[in-house]
Amino acid sequence: MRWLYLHFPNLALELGSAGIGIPAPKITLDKQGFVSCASQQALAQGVQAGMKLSSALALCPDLIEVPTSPLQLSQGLLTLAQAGYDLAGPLSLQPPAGLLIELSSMQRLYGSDQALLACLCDSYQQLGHQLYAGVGDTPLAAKLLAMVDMGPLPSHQAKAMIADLSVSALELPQLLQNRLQRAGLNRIGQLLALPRMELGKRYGAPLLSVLGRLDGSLKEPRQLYHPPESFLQEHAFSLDVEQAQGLLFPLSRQLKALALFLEKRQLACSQLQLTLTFRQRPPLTLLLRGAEALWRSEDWQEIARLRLEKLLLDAPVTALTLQAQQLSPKEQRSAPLFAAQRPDEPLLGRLITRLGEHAVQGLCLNANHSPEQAFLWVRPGESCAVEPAPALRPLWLLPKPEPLRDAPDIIRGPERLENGWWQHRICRDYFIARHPTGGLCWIFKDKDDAWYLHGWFG
Amino acid sequence: MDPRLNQLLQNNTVWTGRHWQQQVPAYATGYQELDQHLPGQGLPKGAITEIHYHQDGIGELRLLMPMLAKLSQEKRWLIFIAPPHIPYGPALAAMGVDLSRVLVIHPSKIKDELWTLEQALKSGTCSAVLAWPREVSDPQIRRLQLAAQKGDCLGVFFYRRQRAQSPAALRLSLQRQQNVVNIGVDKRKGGWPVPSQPINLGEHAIRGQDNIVQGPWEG
Repeated sequence: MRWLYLHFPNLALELGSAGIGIPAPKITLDKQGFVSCASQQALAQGVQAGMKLSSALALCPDLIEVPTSPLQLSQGLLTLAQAGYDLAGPLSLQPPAGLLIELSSMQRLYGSDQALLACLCDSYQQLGHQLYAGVGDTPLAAKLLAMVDMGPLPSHQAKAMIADLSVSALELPQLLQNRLQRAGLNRIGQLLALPRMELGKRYGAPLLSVLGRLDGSLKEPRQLYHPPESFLQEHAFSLDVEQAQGLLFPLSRQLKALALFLEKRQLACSQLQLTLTFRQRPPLTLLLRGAEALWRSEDWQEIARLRLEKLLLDAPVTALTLQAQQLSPKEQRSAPLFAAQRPDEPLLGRLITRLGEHAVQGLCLNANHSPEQAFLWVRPGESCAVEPAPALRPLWLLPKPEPLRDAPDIIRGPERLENGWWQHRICRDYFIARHPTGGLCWIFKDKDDAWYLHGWFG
Repeated sequence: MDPRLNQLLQNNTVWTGRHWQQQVPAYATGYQELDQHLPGQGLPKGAITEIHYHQDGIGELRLLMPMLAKLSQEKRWLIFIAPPHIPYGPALAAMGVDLSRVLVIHPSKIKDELWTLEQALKSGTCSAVLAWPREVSDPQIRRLQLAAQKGDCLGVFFYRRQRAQSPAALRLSLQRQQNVVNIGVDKRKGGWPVPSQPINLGEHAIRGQDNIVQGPWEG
């Protein structure tokens, strides 16, 4: 087996300074307050990793310290893993800033290690990350080579290179390291040359297990990375956004990422949750709904645009979180070959988003004799298997019967409709009549002989 | 007719304009007396037709029913935008309209109404859009006309009052005199207006007797 280890030396710096646009020298600090990463500008002015903050500031007064948190780092690494997963299969996380990829199963796909590595480098450089890589026969060997950024080497060269590395690269406990140094064992090669048994007796099991991992006699447990089946992306703004329209641009980038996410999994999604975070008030949650499951970023963008058009912001927005909900397998529809228009329904989604769900309705029949209940308002496109009755009915129904003053000019009838004796009893004699204005109308006489207009034969 | 003129016509030496009319793509209304006066023998496809009427219940919907029943067989929507009353499902279904293709939309604002009209007309997913616009100006109609053309959609606008003129492709007016409905073609492409004439929109069926159990009953 061959392994590729990717190390991101400046991950903390890159994640933390994503929102800072100014090209200033930047550093990150570790827990003890020492410089852990330094940007190119900071390095140029003499700042080095491992320095105290005070000495770094003395060298470079306009230094910016980029805040990082372990959570941000682990999330950042997950994002990297996701990007890597698109290109290479068996992948596991190596916190705090590494990824391990099994190479042999990728051999046939890419042809050579270099080709895969070039693809990975390209994709990470586009994301703005610096990358060290190493290839070895064991995960640990790959990691050691990655730390010195050796890239793919022929096997014997790699072995020689590792043998030449300092023992400190093995990250042994400090006491053990000191003991090894006192014994004159400075290079890894020296350790490997010694009989294991003797080393174990003298320095204990931890050293043996590290050496075992290095030469492959000990299997290293590792957890394979699986991409999440849900989509959640947060975007924190470096400058607060005060206009709802200003959210569209960052949102469109998130929607593109969503489209990619859906496309890779052959999924579609019918609801998006958009959370706007404010500085001093509870976050605002907006739901974007498609009339059906959508997967194109343009369709969602249209819906988002309509939703944001109506939104008035009371306070500046500091962050935007997009979450996909109600994922479903993408419906395989064969598009008609010569149809000029798309056969699917972004129209409904647009209408519902702008007008509201109650304003866009479908109709279906109901098996009920009461005229008001002979039909139902339903979701668009729904149908129910009720056969239309042969009775003569008007094309227009008034939402509420209107009382009639004059005696009508009856043409036809009556037709008695009696229904719902258990509740809201209806007992009416319906007639077709000529309305004084000239139209044909549908009227009824109730129990008390009062006349009502209920529809028009439009 | 002058025999010489007749001879010219028979020799196909005179272009009569009728041939041009017949090439307009259109949906037949199903009322032959009316269709013969319409360019393309029906309501123009991908364009806007205006229907003027003064009273409810004189056949303004019945006029379209045979055509709508046919259009609902296409897998596209039939949309009612801001109708004055509820389009009554049982009657629509009885006339052959597939209700699962019917949408009723009630935009609350005039601005939303125009927006909905344009979206529906241009989407390409609607076969017919029936609308009762409250306020629409000539430039807006022109714009909607283009939208209808883009979406290959039949737009029908109903007006309760007379508009003096309009850029719509076809304008019809319905009037009732005594017991008959007169339909006039106020504007058509490639032809003069046709004065209104009586057309039977199925009224005899409504007036006629069928198997309804007749009253009066006791109690």
